[in-house]
Amino acid sequence: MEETSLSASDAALAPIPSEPAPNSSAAEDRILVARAQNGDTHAFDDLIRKYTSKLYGLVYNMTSNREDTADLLQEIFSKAYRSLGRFMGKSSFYTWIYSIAVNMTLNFIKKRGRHMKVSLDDVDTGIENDPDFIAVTTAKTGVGREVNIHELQKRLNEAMMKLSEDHRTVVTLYDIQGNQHAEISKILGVSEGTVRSRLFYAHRQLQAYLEDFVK
Amino acid sequence: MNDDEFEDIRKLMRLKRHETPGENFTEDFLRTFHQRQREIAQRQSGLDRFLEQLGMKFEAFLNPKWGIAAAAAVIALVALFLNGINGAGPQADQAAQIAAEAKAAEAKKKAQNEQNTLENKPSGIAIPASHQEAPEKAKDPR
Repeated sequence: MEETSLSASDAALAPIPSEPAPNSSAAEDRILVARAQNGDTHAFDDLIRKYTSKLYGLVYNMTSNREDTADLLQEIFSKAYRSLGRFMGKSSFYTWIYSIAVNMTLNFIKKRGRHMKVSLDDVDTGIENDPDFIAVTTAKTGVGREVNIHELQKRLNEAMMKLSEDHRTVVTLYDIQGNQHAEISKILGVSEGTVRSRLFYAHRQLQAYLEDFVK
Repeated sequence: MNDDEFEDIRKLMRLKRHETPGENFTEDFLRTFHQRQREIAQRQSGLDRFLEQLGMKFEAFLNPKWGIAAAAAVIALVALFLNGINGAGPQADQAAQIAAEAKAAEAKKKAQNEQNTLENKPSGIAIPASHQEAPEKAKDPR
């Protein structure tokens, strides 16, 4: 039921991008990849610097454990480094390394099973000035309501962990990381319709879990 | 079905962008990465590296597309092999039968030749002329 394609009515609804568009630096990536394939280790370092933060966000929001995230990220870049010689450039480096990261993280979550331990990062102070935070906690919920940031963080993580791995992945890629449907479709190797469908059901579940924040 | 109804949820989820590992994470991560790669390189023997490369090459065959193609090829080979065995059976029997018939015919011919030879060849024991039967004509009392 979940995998059916939805209508294209929400096709134009794009996430608000918090990161540069994936293709904006594709040319720069191609140069770095070519240099790294020719043995320039500094070029691969530059790729790590460029993608560590993005991939950290991906893995962290899927695992909810900072230690696991750091370890898994080492394995992801290690695999990318060893496989770089076989990267033919059919997709962008962005899509390629994101696919590696998603697959390895999903495998890790499956192996980990129910033995999950939550270990959250600190929330940076910028959240207090984030228009989304203000909109959700003040304007929407009524003047005078105090929202404890740590309580909110805990609830958001609990809600994420209640989602299936597939749903959590699309929420992370779309809502949190700001990827477009088409890019997510390439990363996951599924149709855009499937991406939209998963997002719809994931949002519906999240709304039920977090109803007291969105009323 | 559109995302407008979930806009508040999406705003909430976007707040998770503020969970960050800290400013120095990337450089610390890079140092750890270099250290790990050095350790891996020291630990790995030539054989390990060869096996790893081999494993990575064969990883492509784990692709379902290749798996299906490989399975189809194996099935085709097995079918050919089995067909070959079944097909060879009657042919082999037929060949054996022909050979047997040829052999029997040859043996029969040989036996016949021998018999002819015996009939035409004089016996090794000499029979005196007096003991030999007289021709019919000689027996005639006339």
